[in-house]
Amino acid sequence: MLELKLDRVSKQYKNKIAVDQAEALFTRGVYGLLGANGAGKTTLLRMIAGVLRPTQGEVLCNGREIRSMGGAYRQMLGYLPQDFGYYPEFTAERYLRYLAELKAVVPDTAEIKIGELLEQTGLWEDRKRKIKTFSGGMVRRLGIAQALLNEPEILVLDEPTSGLDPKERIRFRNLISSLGRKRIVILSSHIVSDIAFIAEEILLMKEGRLLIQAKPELILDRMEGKVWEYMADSAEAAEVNDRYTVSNMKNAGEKVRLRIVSEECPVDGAVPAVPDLEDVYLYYFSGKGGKAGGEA
Amino acid sequence: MDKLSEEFEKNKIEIDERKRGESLQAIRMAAAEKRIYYRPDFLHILAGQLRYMPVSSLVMQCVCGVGILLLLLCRMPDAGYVYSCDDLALMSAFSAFIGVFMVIEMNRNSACHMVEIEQSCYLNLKQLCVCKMIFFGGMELLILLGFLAVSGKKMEVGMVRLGIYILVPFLVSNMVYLFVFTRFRNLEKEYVQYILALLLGIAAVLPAQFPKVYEAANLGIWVAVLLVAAAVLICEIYKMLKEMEEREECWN
Repeated sequence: MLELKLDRVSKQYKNKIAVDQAEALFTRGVYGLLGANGAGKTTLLRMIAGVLRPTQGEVLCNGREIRSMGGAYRQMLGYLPQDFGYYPEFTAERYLRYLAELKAVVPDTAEIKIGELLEQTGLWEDRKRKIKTFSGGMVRRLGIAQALLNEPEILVLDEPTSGLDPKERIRFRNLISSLGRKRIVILSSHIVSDIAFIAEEILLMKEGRLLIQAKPELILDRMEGKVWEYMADSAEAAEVNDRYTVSNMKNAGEKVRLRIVSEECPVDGAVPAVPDLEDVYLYYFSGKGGKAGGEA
Repeated sequence: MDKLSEEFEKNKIEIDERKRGESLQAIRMAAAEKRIYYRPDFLHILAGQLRYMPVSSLVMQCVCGVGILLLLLCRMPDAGYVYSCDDLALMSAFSAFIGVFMVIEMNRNSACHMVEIEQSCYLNLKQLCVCKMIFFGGMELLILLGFLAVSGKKMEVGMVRLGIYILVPFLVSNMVYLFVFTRFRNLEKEYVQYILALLLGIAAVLPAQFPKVYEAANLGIWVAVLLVAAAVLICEIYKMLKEMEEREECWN
């Protein structure tokens, strides 16, 4: 059984610690890495993809350090970087052929696989077009296609849904879910709903540290009693919003319905609500009334 | 024989067909799960990469090389013609200029933000770079050999000395291109490389203005420069490839 392990992985740039002693274990399934911008998600994913060397610690694949595995590890890997590049003069088809060569996909199956992926990502009709004429969403879909070319056993996707419209995002989420049945899929996002829909396990990352690795249900269980709803008039709503982490404000006639994330009952009359992942996100990352310090 | 058969029958192990089926099924499933990876050999890798080299760079390099060769051939209308310092200047300028195509090609993936994705592939950035150096460097050396074949016997200095005289600008210029390529990331633009190539081409012409430089007495200096340039270039290539393994600044 394939197993990927982060063994106290750290990355330091001069005075800044981008990733601090990250420890995690991945087996088959979809893992969602959730954190604010600058939390260290991209650095961590780059270390998992083997394009960055950890300052300390190791990334182990079935017990072997991935850098020592060299090409054997890279052949198991599919990677979509956040800053996805392409040769603008290439057509989508040529681009995938080029990367199939680099990924050492068996020549006989490469053409079939390219065709399948162009279909799956909705780019078949545009396969002869130069990539420089593609929209942002199409480029992103091409990025996803290239990551899947070698049928990777480990799939690392950095912000895969950014730039996709809602319909594309839904299609893509379903695709990732199906991929997770056979392989390790690690994806990062700051879009909570994307992670909520597909991740079987969630990793929360803040200021370079992994705060939690757990199943969504478990994380939500821990949030019980920390989310509240309260109907207030507009003046009081503004005051509550200043003092607490408010995950939602919705006008309801003359009043405003507030959804508040707080360790304790924020105001008299507030009633406990069922938490969702957006509440979890705010609890750990807002720094106001929630888990400001970010400890696990 | 019958006794042996009897013994065999007596000791025959009963096979549980159900368990046998289960075991075979388990083996089949394990085999189906096992991935067989394709590991292309070096020649396949080179052939594969050749298909994706930009035609423009290769064509420009060939056109330049063939153009100079034709020019050299045109300058020897009769068998008694002896090549002069002017011809040597032309060859030196070309030797200094031609290396620019390789650096521009090596810079292309970085300019297109392909570095990170290529680094994560089976054939990674370092190996890709080696492929490009083999193609471009090999072609450049072939063109220089062409120069030697055309003009070597028709020059007073002889083939070996001519080889040294045109290899010096070639190695020194490549040393400068690689230095700029690896050290000054903001100077990676194509036009900067072309300007640099023009300057190096002009610099390579300068020794021909002082024909004494090519006298046999100065050959030792040429050889020394050649060896130093070759050593520095090898060190630069080694360092560049090593840095590519740990390259981080390109995506930070």
